[in-house]
Amino acid sequence: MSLQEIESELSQLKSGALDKLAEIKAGTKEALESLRQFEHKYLSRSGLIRQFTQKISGVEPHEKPKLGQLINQLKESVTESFNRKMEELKTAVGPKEIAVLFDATIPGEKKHRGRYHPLYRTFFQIIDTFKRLGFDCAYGPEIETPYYNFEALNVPADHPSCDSFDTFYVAESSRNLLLRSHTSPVQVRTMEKIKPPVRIIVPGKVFRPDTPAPSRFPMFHQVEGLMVDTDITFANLKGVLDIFCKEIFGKDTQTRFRPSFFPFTEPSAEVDISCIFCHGKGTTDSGENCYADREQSRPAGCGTNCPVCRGEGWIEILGCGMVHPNVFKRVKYDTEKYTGFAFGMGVERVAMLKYGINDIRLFTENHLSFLTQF
Amino acid sequence: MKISYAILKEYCAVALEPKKLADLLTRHGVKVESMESQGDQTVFEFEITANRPDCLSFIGIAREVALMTRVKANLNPKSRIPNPKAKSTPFIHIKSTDLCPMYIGRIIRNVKVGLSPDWLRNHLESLGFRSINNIVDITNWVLMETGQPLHAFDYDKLIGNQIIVRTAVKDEKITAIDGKAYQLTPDMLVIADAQKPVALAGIMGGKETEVTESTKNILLESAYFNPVCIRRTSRRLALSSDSSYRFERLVDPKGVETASQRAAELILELAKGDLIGYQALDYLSAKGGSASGGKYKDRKVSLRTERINRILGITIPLPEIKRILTGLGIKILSAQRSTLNALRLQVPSFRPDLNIEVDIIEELARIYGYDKIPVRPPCIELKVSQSDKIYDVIRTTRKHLVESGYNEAMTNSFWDKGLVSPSEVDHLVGLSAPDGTTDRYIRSNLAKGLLDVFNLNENYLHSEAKKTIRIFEISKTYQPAQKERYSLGIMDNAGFYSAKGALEGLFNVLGLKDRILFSVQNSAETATANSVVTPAGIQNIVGINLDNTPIGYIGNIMLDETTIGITELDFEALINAAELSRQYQPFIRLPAVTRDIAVVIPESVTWHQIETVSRQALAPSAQDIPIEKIEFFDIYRGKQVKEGHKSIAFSLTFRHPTLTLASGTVDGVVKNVIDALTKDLKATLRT
Repeated sequence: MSLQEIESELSQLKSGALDKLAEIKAGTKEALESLRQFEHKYLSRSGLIRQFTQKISGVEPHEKPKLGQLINQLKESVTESFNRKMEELKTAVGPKEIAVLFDATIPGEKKHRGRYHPLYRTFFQIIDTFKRLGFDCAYGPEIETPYYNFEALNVPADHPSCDSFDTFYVAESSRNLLLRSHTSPVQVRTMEKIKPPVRIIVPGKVFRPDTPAPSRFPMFHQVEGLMVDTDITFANLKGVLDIFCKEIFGKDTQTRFRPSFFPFTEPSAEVDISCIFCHGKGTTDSGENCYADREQSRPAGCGTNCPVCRGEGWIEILGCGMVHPNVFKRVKYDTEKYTGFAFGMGVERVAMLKYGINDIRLFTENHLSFLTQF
Repeated sequence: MKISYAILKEYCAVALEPKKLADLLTRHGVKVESMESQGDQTVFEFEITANRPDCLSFIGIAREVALMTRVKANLNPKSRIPNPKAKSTPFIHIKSTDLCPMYIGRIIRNVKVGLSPDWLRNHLESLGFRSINNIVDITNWVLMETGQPLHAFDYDKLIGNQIIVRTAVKDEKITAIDGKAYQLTPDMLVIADAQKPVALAGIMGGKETEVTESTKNILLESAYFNPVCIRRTSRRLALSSDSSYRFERLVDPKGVETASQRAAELILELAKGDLIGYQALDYLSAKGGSASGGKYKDRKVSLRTERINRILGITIPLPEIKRILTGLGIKILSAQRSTLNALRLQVPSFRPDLNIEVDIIEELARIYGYDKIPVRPPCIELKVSQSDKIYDVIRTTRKHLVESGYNEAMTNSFWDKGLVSPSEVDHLVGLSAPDGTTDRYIRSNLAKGLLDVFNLNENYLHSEAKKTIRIFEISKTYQPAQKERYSLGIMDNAGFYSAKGALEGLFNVLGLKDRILFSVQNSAETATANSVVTPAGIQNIVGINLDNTPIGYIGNIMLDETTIGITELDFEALINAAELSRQYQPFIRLPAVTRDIAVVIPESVTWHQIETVSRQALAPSAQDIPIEKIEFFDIYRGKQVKEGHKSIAFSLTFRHPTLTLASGTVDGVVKNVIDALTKDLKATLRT
């Protein structure tokens, strides 16, 4: 094919192309789609103009630059017209023609992640708080011997002080085995193994024969702590637990240590925190703290007693004390040289307070509507 | 323990308003459980800890109040009455001096049983007692005042006019004042007359000998009983009383006589009568003592002031120490003996809880105030925490499963008897009920509980189209012979493959991928025998081995027309084997070539066979065209696949360490794979 023939084909192509472009009327529905088809037909890699470049090899060598030039001119001119048309379409397109709305208000794709159980969430939060303070975890069996559960902890048999440690016994073991009623046996098991200094926490499950009710369940969790060294005092116990309560319940939390009694500590204390619901005020509405009076005798104008602390302003949260010398004697620690403190708390109670859960049985029910809230 | 503000005022000059008093007492170890307004009167109810029997009396509470509020107290019941001059013939006989080391009887003749005076009735009623008659009211009043339980018998109804303290004889019975008949056993202590029991010692009097309107003569009992004996009998008979409550906690051995005197005095005052008989048997403090050696001696304790600081972290000024000790009734025998600054102390008989130095230190701290002890975190030597693999692996596993879409569950450790089949019992640890029978078990597996969780949620979510119930639990399971260990259970209503995927992901995270084998041959029996107990009804069960040791199973179970994937593993094995550290592996940066293949094969062919045959077919060319991975991605059964067959789709990924593979270069080896599958597994290429 001669150059001239090619030239005439090119000019036909050009006028055809420009006619096509002219036919595309801005503002019509099909305009954009037609323009895209046009672009594909003429300007794409496999388009008509590109096809001409293959014909360059068919002309005389000296004519090649000329042809190349012509093709380029054609391409430029069609591209320019195309671009103009595109501009025209864009500006002329009415609102009807916005093809796709990017709707940012549609919810994102669901990612299916599970949830941690609120009890274990709290459990690990407590563990981690003490780990950060340098306490190690210690573990022990849940099926225990009476020695570790009672005797070694200075809990006398047949004394009213073991009433609070009602216990499940393993059948047919002649009462030689029981389900531990607290995590304290691990204190003894640990001290039997290591010399002071001791700095451990014992997270674990414990069991007490209770009929399930909103506030009690025969299986629950405790975190126990034990620290023994040469100069550990009650003031140190207060220091550690104060840090702990502020970490778990918020930095404004106040702690109150009240004398109490546990066979394995002396002195013993119960720790109250300022009520996290009424912030220690004891009332939910405005009004005076009226904890001295029960519902029926409340003076007029006094607020409702806080349902969580029953108007006390304080919530009991854990038990603690200085390790009783009889416990140290069992594990052959020198009671003159070493002192130590121990504490223990119910994890369910902490979780219930933190999340405002009013029935302990929700934890073991595992209703997804409950589990997926945390 | 209850006391009204009015009663309290009779024993100490308290002036603090009730609300503040309650707060003060609570902060100093005498916990006010509640306060109740009765007209203009406030009644305090205390929660007294088991070590403080002394606070189970007005006098004990008044002692604490006086010390805490720094007011005067009157802790001694008024005047004393003279005992009858003529020695009466012995009317008390103690057969079990171990169980009853002290018994004091007073016989009062010609009493006028009737209404109590208003003050006594009102006071008792404010504390929740029902006023019976003046004699019974007086015994109750003195019990509350002193903490020493007393009992009055109708003297004329005691056969032989005597008291025999002995253990019960087999088949003996007694009807107590509560009107109920109690069957007695030979280890129970009773108060008997010449013929039969007339009271459950220390717990409750008998109906027959109780003081009534027609009673003329009474015998007043004040005694000291063995606390363990009282406690056991009380528990066995499920009968507890104000008396047994106090005897269990130890009464004041020195209060036995004073309480008897006090009651006799009140009886003479309010019911008239003459004191004509008195007998006191005391094996506790008298010489000779009781056979059990439980002789009462005044206890002496040394207190080193330096030790107070060691325990509490605070110094209490000496005058304050002395004030507190004295206020508690502790005698300071000698001050500053030797260089240790030690005080020699004598502990009062009403404080059985004070035996060693630290007991005294607790008392000092309690009264001085826990509030005054500073909040001081310990200064301790820095040390590296021990590595804690249990913690690490549990945390890693929970994280992996939660991120994979599973909810963490916590199921009950107990299985009720009714929910356990006879065949399961042998593998379970039973727990004994109070009556000695086995009424419940602790679980041998987690799967059972997790399937219950499915049922609960399935019913709830019934109407929802897209329900996913995926849960897991890491907790202990128990087997006979004191075996307990952590298990991991997963329940997945998307079925076997979903659960398997979660497990495979976990093994990866725990660095165990190459040490785990899902073994089809290793079926239910192996899983049960060696590792984990499987609940009934599991199909498609596959054993899971770690280093060729069975550690659990995975399978399907049909519930409510849903096929549920269920798996349970010996988690302790995973804790031990887990390798959480990682090592960098250099990787090839050149592009890969991937080909998807779908073949139709007979039902009997497994994926494992397809993979094995494919690998064999690729082995000869592996040098030039290395296979990087073979990945299953689809299985299809249906119209387009002929019966008895299935279509399996998978991909082959090739990558060369040094060359970029051109797309065409793998055509040959892919054909080799297809040919091998056709030849060995009767596969046809699906187009």
